[in-house]
Amino acid sequence: MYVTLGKYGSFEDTNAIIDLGRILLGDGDSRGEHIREEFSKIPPFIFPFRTLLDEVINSVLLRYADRKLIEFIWNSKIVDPEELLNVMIWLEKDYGKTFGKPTLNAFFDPEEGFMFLEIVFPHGDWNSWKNLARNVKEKMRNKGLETLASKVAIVCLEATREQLL
Amino acid sequence: MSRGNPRTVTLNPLPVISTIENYFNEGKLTEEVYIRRALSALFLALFNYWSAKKYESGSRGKGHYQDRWTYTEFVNDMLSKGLDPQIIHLVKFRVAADHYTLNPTFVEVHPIQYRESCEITGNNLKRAIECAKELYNILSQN
Repeated sequence: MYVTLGKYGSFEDTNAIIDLGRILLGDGDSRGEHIREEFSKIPPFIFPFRTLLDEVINSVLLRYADRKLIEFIWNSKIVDPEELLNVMIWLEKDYGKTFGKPTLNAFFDPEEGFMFLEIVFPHGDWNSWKNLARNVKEKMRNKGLETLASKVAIVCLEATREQLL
Repeated sequence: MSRGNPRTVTLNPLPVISTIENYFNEGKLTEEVYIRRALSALFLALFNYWSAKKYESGSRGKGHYQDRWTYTEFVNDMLSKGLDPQIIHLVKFRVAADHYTLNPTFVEVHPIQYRESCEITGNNLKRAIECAKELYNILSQN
């Protein structure tokens, strides 16, 4: 398999980008040196991956969701999987250190069925959650991702367990 | 067709939110059966108001009078505005209150290892009232 990542280089197999999220976070991978250098120069919110094969999108999405959920995302056509992947990598890169590694979840209403996808961060209190959601959604809207912004919910798991009384 | 006041006036949720808040502050909503009804009412009052706003702004839904929208459309609209914590809290507790028998329980999510426990308590009603007021403030401005 031969994959081209726009100006970020070409790869003869998917292994070089399967761990893309890890590479972007700087865990170290000799194959990712060029990508990591390039990413250090570009703005935090950007979508370089527009030519990925479905198999590659699935491989990287497995960092955030299980196979059953990924299959559901593709079959239901609720969001563009490639757009979703870009957002997940961006969120992990920019917010992972503060809120922890995000994962994907799907919420179902008993009357209406699927309602939205959740991007779940393990950490963050109630006020941080409100700020995070507002900022992330504003950036998504500014990048023309209004549909995706309406289909995914940002969740800080820790905040859902806060006690008020 | 409706007559009289505009639907956004008739369906304004503020009296419902205030009544629930007052009852809560006076300690009248301590039993689970009342907390469940209050959680459900907060969500549905906002949903009705949101649909009235949509209708009066010229949007059309489904049904004979094109005046029907889904909960999902309401929730998606709130998510697009970045009101994620407020709407998530209301929708999850609405689902738990109306559809699940046990307390605490787990509302259905996938994958199951990331499920969030939903416990119907005064604490979570207090937060729901806060969320409802914030959502109302945003909705009433648009």
